[in-house]
Amino acid sequence: MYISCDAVRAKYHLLDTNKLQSVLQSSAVVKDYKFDTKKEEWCEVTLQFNILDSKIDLPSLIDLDIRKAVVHEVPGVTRCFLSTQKNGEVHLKTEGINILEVYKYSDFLDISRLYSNDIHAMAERYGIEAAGRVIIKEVQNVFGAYGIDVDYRHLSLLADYMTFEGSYKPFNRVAMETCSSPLQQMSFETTMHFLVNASIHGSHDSLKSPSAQLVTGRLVTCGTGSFELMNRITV
Amino acid sequence: MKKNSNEKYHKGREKKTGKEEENKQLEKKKLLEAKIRKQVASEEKAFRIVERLIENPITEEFLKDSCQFIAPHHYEDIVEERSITKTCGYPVCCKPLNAISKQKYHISTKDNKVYDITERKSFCSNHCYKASRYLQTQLSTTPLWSREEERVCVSLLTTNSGLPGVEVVGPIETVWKEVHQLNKLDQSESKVKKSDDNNKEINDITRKTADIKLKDETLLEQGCVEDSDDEKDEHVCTDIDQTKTNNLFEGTFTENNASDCKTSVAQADNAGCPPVESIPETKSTKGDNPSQTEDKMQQLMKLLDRRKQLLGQLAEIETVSEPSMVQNTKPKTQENLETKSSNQQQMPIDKDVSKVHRIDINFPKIVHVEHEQKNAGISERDISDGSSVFKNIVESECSKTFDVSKEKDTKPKPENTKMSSHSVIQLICQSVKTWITTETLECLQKPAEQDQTSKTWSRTHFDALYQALCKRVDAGEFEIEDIGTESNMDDDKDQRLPIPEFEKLRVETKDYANKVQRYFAGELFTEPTEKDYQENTPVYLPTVDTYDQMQIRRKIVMERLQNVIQDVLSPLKLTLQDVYTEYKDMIGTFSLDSKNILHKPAEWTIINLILLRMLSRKNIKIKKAFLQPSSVTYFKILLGRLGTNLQQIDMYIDDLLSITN
Amino acid sequence: MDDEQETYKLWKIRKTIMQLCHDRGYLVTQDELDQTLDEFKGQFGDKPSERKPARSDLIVLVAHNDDPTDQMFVFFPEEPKVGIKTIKTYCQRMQEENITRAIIVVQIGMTPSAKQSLTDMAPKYILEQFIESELLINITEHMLVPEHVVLTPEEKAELLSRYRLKESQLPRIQQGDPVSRYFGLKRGQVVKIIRNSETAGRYVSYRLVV
Repeated sequence: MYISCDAVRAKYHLLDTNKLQSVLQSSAVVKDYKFDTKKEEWCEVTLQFNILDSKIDLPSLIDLDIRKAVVHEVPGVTRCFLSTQKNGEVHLKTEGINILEVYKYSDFLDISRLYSNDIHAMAERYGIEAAGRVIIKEVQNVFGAYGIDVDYRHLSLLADYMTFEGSYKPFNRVAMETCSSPLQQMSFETTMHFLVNASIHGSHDSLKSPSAQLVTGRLVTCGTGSFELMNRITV
Repeated sequence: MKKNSNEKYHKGREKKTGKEEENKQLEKKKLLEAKIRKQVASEEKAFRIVERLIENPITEEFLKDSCQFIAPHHYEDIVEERSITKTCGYPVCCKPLNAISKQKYHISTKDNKVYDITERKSFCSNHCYKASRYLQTQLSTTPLWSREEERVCVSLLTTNSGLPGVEVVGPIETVWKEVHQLNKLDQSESKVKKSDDNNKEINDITRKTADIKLKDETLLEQGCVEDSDDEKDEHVCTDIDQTKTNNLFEGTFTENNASDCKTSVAQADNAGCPPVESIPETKSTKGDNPSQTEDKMQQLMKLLDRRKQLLGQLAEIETVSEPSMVQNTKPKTQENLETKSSNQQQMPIDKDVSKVHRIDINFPKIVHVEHEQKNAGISERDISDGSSVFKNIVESECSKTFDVSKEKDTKPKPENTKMSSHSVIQLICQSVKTWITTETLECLQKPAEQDQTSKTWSRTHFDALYQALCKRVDAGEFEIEDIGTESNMDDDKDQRLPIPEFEKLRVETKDYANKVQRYFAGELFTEPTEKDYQENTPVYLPTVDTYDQMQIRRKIVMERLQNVIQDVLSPLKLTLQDVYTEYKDMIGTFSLDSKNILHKPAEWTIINLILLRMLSRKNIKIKKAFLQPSSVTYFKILLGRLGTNLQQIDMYIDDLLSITN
Repeated sequence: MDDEQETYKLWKIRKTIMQLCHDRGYLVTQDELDQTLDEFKGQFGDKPSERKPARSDLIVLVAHNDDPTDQMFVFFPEEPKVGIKTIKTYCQRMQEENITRAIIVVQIGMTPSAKQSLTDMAPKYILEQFIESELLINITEHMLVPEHVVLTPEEKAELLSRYRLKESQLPRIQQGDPVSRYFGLKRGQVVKIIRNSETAGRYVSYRLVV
């Protein structure tokens, strides 16, 4: 997800001396502790060991411990980076999603423009309409990578179809299981599977869906096919 | 008019059938509706009960009655709701909740466990928590609407015990628990199984021996070895000694790793212990002595309990400062496991011991080979291999003793070793003592007759037989060479039987044909010949296991002895045939018990030695063999390692033989 | 959580609640809608850990634009997890003051039995439940969420007759949908959604609440 930010505020409230003291007191081995007060990007710990004690393979010990140590983490987010867009805006992009965490920084992040490509998360947090928009955007991105530009109308139809029930429904043969027209199911994918199911259950098709009508060679009930013409018979 | 009436009639009929269908559908709907209403009503009732149970006061009867109508998740809700209102989560308890710690875990220094107390925070005391859990597990999980016939009866916890929380189990503990459970399973399994399959037996044994080993350890902990006369305990000790040595020889030690200890024990058993323990157990299951089995059961239960305690303490073993060797053996296991390497570095001065250790490392492989050989049966082995193996076994015995000394100090204590080796032999002697009966003494005091039997097995006798065989073979060769010449055929003619007469043959075939006809007709064919009745030879049926335990035990003992006898016989330059009959006779006179035939292969070798010494008193050949210089040196070294010598063994034997008088 | 963050959170939540009430058609003054953090601190204090403000101080009572007697409460329970008893107390209060609707903003969650008791209260007393984290921002302000307008029953009837539709033929929105809950919609109500479309400028759609 990415968020545009005007400025990154530096944290205040650091009582540097307290921090130093607490680190020095944590172990008898620690002799000195230095850290970056401006950007909080590094710190240096000086450890002192007795020469007469047996050799300690410090690098490998540190290596093992480091892997287990969590300095600071946001659950769900693994990486994040800032990227400057063409219009000068700075976007914060993350690998992983944790929307609640982002809400905490609403004073300098423009929360109303928060976007995620995780459609379920967006549906859960912002509602089904937002999810529909995200579907359209994501499909555009997929095709856009190949330089293919699909017309908006097709995509909006797709998004409307997928959000018709009020929840984010997929558009695959799994979702087709719930379709009421067996012929429509069969004409989509995995014909054999649906055919067998329909035979077993003795399903019946009312030939109301366009696919079923096409399969049976009827006129689709759209446009001119949506009504029948009756002639007035004068006797 | 008619048409109209017809039409009306038809219409009426259609309406009727339509109505019937409608009725059916209506009925279905009604049923469905009723069902749904019932479900909703039961949920509603449960909800009302939950509401009621949140408020105090609540009687026990009410709680018990209401358990019929609620599901476990309802109960959880009750507890939660009550804790929100700051009363104890257990419905019967009215006490308010006091200061709740914000921590998630509670570390108990008493039992060295970490407890997750998130659930426990909803209760006023440990007792309430435990009682609540007790109740929750009793609640039925069937859906509320289907509980009409089911009667849910719950009981409330009355004991004064408590649970401090949900135990957080670490990785080592999970392994422990698994091993514990496996051992328990095996115990129960072993009592049921009566498999004759060797492999199964062996597997059972390994596990059981692991079990018994640990039981033994608990017994040891109680320091019951030297005090009690209970033979099992003594065998237990010897088993333990073996265990420990075997533990040493398994190279897979980690610090304080109980699971490793057990697995190594199991491995050691797999490697070294023959299928001894299974047989007494199977015997007991066969119900020969029900009282015996009951006693055994009780003992096993006791041992299990002790073992549990032991397991709990395994993690916090400290060196025991008691001087007695026996009590040191238990902590020794742990210490040995931990400090094996350091012990090896802090080697005792004695060269022999160093040799011992070097050889010890090779021990597992050799023993494994030996085990396989044993499985194959008694096979002819290289005497050299046998002796080396035997050496190792013996060295293992003595290293046992050295380990005992090692546990505390770096210096070897020769007194200790002697003491320990003495005790080893003493233990063996004690078990042998139980075998010896008056009949044995009688048997041993019959030197004259034995000479005759030995004669039959003497070399000269065999030589004579061999000569005869050679002559016959040569004669046979000549015959083969001479085939084809007429002279031979003439000779053969005389020697051949006369040609049967034709008439006779005809009669015979007729008879035979009649017989066949009668057989197919269904008549009985065989006519009992007089011969059968005249023969009064006694019919020997094999004895049934349940009634002839002694035979089985004798068989076992013979088997065990035979497995290791080569090691003893080879330095004596005797063959098995020399001693077999006498062995068999002597063992025939022993009073064997299900308990006193449990031994390790190393112990069996020493038993072999003792028995041979006993036999040497009546059998001159064996006596001579013992006096041979090679055997003298061999046994000197062997027994020297054990800290004893042949004279002492003789003394023991005198002791054994005299006591039963 | 320190006081500063807590105060900020409470301020944000209250602001969202005000906007929510306003969007639902209740009377809310502009000051209340635009209240800044400092004003909030001034009004309520800024030490939540010392109960200044206590959550109970934050209770909101609003009246509907069209019908002044139709009022709504917004409760902020103290305990992190709300149980049946708290619900009962709120119900009592509503009964006393003759108020039919209320919103409960819980800190962490509600017990399952409490949720069930909420549904039990209906249709006489309608209680809705929100978690604090959901109200930290106003979702309708988001760029992806279009404008939702709730139709009155008459407007709904007119819609169905104009397009000759059956109810089932309309696209649907779930009752648990965030926007649905924001507006406090019931089953059978219809929302009019006005989207911004690239090709058509504005695109109007309807959704039935199920």
